[in-house]
Amino acid sequence: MKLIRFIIPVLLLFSLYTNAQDLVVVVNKSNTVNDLSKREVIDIYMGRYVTFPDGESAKPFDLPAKSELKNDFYLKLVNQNERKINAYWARVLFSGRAKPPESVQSINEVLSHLQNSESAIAYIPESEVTDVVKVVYRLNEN
Amino acid sequence: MKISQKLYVRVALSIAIVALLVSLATSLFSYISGLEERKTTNYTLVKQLAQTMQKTAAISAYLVDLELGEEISNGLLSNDLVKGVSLSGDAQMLITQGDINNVSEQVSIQLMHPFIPDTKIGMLTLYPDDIYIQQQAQKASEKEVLLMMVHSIIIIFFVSLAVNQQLSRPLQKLTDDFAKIDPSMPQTMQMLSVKKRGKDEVSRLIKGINSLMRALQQTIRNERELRTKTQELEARFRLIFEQASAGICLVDEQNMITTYNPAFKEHFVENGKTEMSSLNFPTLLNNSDKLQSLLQVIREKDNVEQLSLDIECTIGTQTKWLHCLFAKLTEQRDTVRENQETLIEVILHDVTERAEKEFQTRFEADHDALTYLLNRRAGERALNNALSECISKDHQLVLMMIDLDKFKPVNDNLGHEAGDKVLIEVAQRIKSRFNLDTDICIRWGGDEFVIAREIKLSEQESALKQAQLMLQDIELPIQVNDDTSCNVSACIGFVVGPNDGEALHELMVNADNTMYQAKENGRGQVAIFNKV
Repeated sequence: MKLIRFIIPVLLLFSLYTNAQDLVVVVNKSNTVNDLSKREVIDIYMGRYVTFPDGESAKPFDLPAKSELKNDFYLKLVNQNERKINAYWARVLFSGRAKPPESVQSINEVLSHLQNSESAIAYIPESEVTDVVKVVYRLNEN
Repeated sequence: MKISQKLYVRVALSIAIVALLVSLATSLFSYISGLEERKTTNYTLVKQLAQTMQKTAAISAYLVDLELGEEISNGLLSNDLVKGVSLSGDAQMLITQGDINNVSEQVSIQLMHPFIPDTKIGMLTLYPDDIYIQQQAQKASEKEVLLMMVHSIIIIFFVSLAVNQQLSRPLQKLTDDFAKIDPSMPQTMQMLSVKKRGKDEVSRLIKGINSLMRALQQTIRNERELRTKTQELEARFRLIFEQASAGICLVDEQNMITTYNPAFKEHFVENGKTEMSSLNFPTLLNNSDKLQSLLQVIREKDNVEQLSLDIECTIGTQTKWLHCLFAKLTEQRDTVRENQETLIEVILHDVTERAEKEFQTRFEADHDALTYLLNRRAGERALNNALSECISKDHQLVLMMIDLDKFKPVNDNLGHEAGDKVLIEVAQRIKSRFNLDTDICIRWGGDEFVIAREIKLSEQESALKQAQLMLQDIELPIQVNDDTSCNVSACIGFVVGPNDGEALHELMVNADNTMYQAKENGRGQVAIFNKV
């Protein structure tokens, strides 16, 4: 709980900061995939496929729930807000075949996952892009 | 009465037939339209079902999630309306459940990509269960038909009940009551009972019948009273007619008797017979020709209303005098029938006794009690009549004054009784010579007689001859008692009027004088008046 108390003001600052930022979808630098289409991103994030188009397994990460970034991401991707996305997952979880992306606490945590795993895929503000990741999709692209 | 003839049954049957036909027609219509409607409704329901599952099915197709797809299919199939479900997506994604063969119609909806607009990712097809839908529709229609029938039957029952209560029963009662009435027996004409405040047609009919019967009863009662009165009156009149001592009869224009009473019959039935000899009225009486003309006169003359007459009639050997009253009968009622006969009523009494007495009285008044010749008073009247008759007819009247000779000695010697006998005998001898209807023989007084005879001019001689013969008759002996007879003679003064006197008085004086001349000439003479 101490952690949450600490994090929330950070996130608030974060969000203010990132609001004007474009979101990008990133993977491990060593991943063979260089570019993803919007449909491919959707298919991975909405649980249709658990692999990249080349057959390597993919493991998507979500930013914390109710965060500005997460909401923004889904709005831009499938034109649905977080609540609808949650409703979708609630429906899909019924059969148990597909799973929602794993949720992380912060962008740093996302970055560490991206660094450690070749199959990881996540969305971050463009300003947060580091050397360990490469951009495969830009959300302002249409 | 057969039940099928009862009104309310017929009404009920009519209603039943109409209701059944209408029910059947309505049911058929509602069945057909209901089937179609239900089918449409069910198809709509199926479509709505599909739409309900559209999103989830789209997700399952997107995720190629067969479990979710089957879950959806099973869910849809559990609905009675759905016979088969087919969910198709990618090549790997095809779920088919239930019977999808032999189904003519299907409801398909597109499955859209949940995240990318306007992108189709599959198709959800539902196959409606036509048989079930049809059965459903049929069941609903059958139920409707059944309800309608029950409805009809209930209506029929209550309508029959109402008709029976309101119409048939009152009518039946009316008919029964009416059947009890026998028009020939007025006591059966009781008033029919009626609802006091009834204003319907039956009540009005009953009231009408009642007032008709009341009027009829009144009329019948009046008729009866009238008839009783008439009968009483008729009986009385009949009694009067039949018990009357006077004979009564009606005579028609042919003089035939049409009606008569027992008293009348009694007058004209001969002893030992039961019927009258004839029904022709005049022939029953003497002098029938005269009677016929009399009846004719009564009929024709308007001013002659009635007339009475004594008529002689001979029944068998009996002669009767009947006093007859003839009266013309006129119709007293206003309506005079055409060609009506004039009847004459005849009322007659037997007046034989009275007539004989009258006859006797008159005879005694006019005749000499001893000789039965006319007495002087009656004789004078007769002579006057005869003289004026002769003058008017230009005839002559022989008048003879007769006086007996030697009569006084007979009276004196043989007594008055012998004298009377002589006078009677002489009178008879005079009468035997002058016995014509018109001859007049008078005992003028004492031993004087007068004879008058109407003659024509040429007959004077024969009259004279007759007088002389008469004188001879008188001179024959007259037996006055068993052992005595006597002889008388007479003288005659012979005059002829009006030559010898236009007035009776003059004639008589002349005859008297002439007779005395004869006396002077001797006994047993006829002297003829000789005008100086």
